[in-house]
Amino acid sequence: MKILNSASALAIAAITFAGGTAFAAEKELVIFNWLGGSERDLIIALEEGFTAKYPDYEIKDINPAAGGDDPRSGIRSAMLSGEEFDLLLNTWPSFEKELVAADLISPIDAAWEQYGWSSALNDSWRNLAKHDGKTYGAYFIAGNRSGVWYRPDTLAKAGIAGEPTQWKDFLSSFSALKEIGMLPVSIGARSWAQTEWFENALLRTAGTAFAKELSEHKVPWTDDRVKETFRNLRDMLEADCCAEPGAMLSSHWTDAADAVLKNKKAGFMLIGSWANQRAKNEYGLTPIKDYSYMQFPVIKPEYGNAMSVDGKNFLVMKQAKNPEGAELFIDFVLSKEGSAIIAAQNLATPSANVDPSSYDPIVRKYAQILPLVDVFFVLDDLLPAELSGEFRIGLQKFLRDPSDASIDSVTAALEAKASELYQ
Amino acid sequence: MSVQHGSILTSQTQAGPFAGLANRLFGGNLRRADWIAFALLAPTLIFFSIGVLYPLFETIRVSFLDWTGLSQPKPAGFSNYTKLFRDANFWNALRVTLTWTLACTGISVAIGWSVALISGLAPKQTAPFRVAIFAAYGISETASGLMWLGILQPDFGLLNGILRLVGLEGWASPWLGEPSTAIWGVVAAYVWTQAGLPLLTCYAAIQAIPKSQLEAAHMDGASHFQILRYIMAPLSLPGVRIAIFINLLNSLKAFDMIHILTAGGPIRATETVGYFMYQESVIYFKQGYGAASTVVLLLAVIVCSIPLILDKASESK
Repeated sequence: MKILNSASALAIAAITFAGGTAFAAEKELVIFNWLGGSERDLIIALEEGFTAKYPDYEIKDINPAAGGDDPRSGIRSAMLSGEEFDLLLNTWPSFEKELVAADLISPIDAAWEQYGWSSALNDSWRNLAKHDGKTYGAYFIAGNRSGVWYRPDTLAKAGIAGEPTQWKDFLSSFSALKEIGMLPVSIGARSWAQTEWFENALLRTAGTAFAKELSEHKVPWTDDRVKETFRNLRDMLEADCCAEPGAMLSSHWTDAADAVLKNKKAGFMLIGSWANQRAKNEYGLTPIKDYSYMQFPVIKPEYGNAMSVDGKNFLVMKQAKNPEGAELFIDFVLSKEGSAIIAAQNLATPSANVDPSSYDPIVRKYAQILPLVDVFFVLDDLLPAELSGEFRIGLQKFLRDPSDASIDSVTAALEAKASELYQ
Repeated sequence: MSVQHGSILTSQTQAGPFAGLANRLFGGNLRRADWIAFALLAPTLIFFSIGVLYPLFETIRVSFLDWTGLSQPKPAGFSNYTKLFRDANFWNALRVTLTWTLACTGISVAIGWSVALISGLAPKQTAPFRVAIFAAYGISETASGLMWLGILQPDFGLLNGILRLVGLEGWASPWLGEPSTAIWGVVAAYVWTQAGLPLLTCYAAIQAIPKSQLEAAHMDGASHFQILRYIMAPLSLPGVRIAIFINLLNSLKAFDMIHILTAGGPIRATETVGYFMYQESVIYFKQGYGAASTVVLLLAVIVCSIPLILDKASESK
C-alpha cells in the first residue's frame, strides 16, 4: 500500500533529508481528508484504488488533529499553520465560495473538458461547484436530505396504508399514530436537525429556484414564501405532531432515530441518508423490511419534484505541487472503478459510471431518482456559517412559539443578519 | 535608608524593593549578583513570554483586524469593539455570564463553606463526605458533563425518573431544553464539580484556627452553634475569600460543561462570553471579532482578580 500517514511520511522525509533522495516519491499526492469513521474508510479505499491503478503515485493522507464541532475550523487552522496539500475534501458550497474569494483553489474547467467529466456528472451537479462562471469541484458522493424515515411495521400497526406522500395525508396520519400511543414525528432540535424540516418544507412550498435565490440573498428572508413555509410547518405542529418544545430542543437527530427506528416510540423522522448506516450497523435492522423512507411529502404539486441533497467533492488547491495528479485522482473517483468503491461502502455517487445494481436497496431507492429530480443542495450548508447559526436558533424559537408574531420576528432577525453578511 | 547585604534579593530601599535594582539597571551599573539573578530568571521569563505574553499581545493585535483566517487580514481599528457592544447577542452573553458566574460562585462557595464548618465541628465523622465532595473536583468536566446529561435527560433522565417515582410527574421537565431552566441545570452540574475547592480552602482555614481558642470558648460554655457562628465562621474568612476568587475566575472561563450539556442553547440561554468567544472564533472563524470578545473577557478576569492581588500584596507587606 502506498498511502502514507503523517508519521511515516515524516520518517521518510527525515531519511530522505539525511541520506539522499532514494525514498522520495516521484509523484506524491497530498490529500486533506478531514472525515472520520466509515466515511474516512471510503476515502482511504478510494486512495488505495487509485494507487493500485497508478502505481507511480504515492498518496499522503492528512487528517486534522482537531476541528471541534465544525471540521472547517480544523481545515482553516491547518491552512493557517502552513499545511500544504494538493486536494481538499469539501462538503460546504459556502466554504468553497470563501476559498474562491481568497484565491486558494484552482478552477478545473480545463480538466473537466480534457477528461470528459460531463459524461459522468450532469450540469446540475457541475453548477453546484460553479463560482463566477468557473467550476471548482466535481461531486463524487451524493446524499438524500429529503428522506422521511419510518418503520413499515409501525405504519401497519397504526393502520396507515402506504406512505403518506401528500402533505395533508401526512398530517392526517398523526391521529392514527397517536391512537396507538406513538409520537407522530420526532424532531431533534438541539443543534441543527430542525433545519432539515424547514429546508424541505421550503422546497415543497416555493421550489428550488426560490431556495437558490434565498441562499444567495436575492430575495429577503421576510418574503411571504418563507413565511408560508413557516405556516406550513405550523400546521404540522398544530396537528400535534411532536413532543413539547423543550424535549425537541434538548435532543439530537440521533435521539429521533432511536425513537423511530429502534425503540418504536415515534412514527417519522427526517434526516440525511446516513441514517441508513445507523439503522443497519447500530440497530442491526434489515433495509426496506425493518425500515424505509419516503421523500418529503408534497405540499404544492408544482414543486413535488424537488429534492434536497448533500454531496462531497475534491478541490484542487492553488498551492498544489501536483495539480495534474490531483485532477487524475478526481477522474479516478468519478470513473467506473471509483464509483464501484463508493457503492461498496453503501453510499451513492452522482456519477453516471456507477452500476446501480451494486447499491444497497435504500441507497438504490434514491440513487435511481437522483437523475430525475430537481436537486437543491442543503440550504444550511449554502449559508455563511454565521447566518446558519442564526437560522438554527430562529427555528428553535419558532418551534417554541409558531405564532404569526414569532414568524415575523424570526424572519426579520434572519433578514437583518443576511443583510449584514451579504453586503 | 538602604539595607544592603551584597545581594539583590535582600536589597530594600524606602522607595521600594526594586528601586535599587532599577537604579543599577538604568545606570548601567549592574552587579554580578544581578546578572546571576537575571540568568536564573531567564528560563521562566522566556517561557512566560512565549506561552503568555506573545499570545496575549497577538490576541490584542488580532482584535484590531478584520480577518476570517483565509483572506488577508485588514485593519479594522476599533470597529470590532464598537460592533461588539452593539451586538445584542454579546449583551445577552454578558447577562448570562453575570448570572452564571454569581450563581456558580455563590452556590459552590456556600456549599463548600457550610460543609467545611460542619466538618470543623466533627472532623472524623464527616471525612467520607469531604473526600466524596472533593473527589468530584478531580473529575474532568467532560466526564461530569456526560453524567449530568444522563441525569437531566427529558425522557430517561434520573431526575425526571425520581420525580415520576415519587408522584411529582408534573414537576418533570426537559431541564436542558427550556431556556428558563437550562442555565440552572448547567449551574447545578458545574457546582457539583466546583464545590470541592471551597471546601478544601475553608476547611484548611478552619484547621488553622488555634485549638486554644476553641477550647477556651468551650470552657466558657459556648454551644456548638456559637463556636461555629462566632469563632469558626469569621476566622475561616481568608479561606472563603480565596475560594470566591478562584471559583469566580474558573466560572468566567468555564467552557466544557456548557459545551457538553447545552452548547450555549437553547436559544442562547446558556451562552456565556466564553462560549460566545468560541462561537465567533472557532465556528464562525471571525478572528478579529472573537479576539475582541476575548480581550473583554480578559479585562473582566483582571478586574475580578484585582481585589485578590491587592489583598495578597498588602499581606506580603
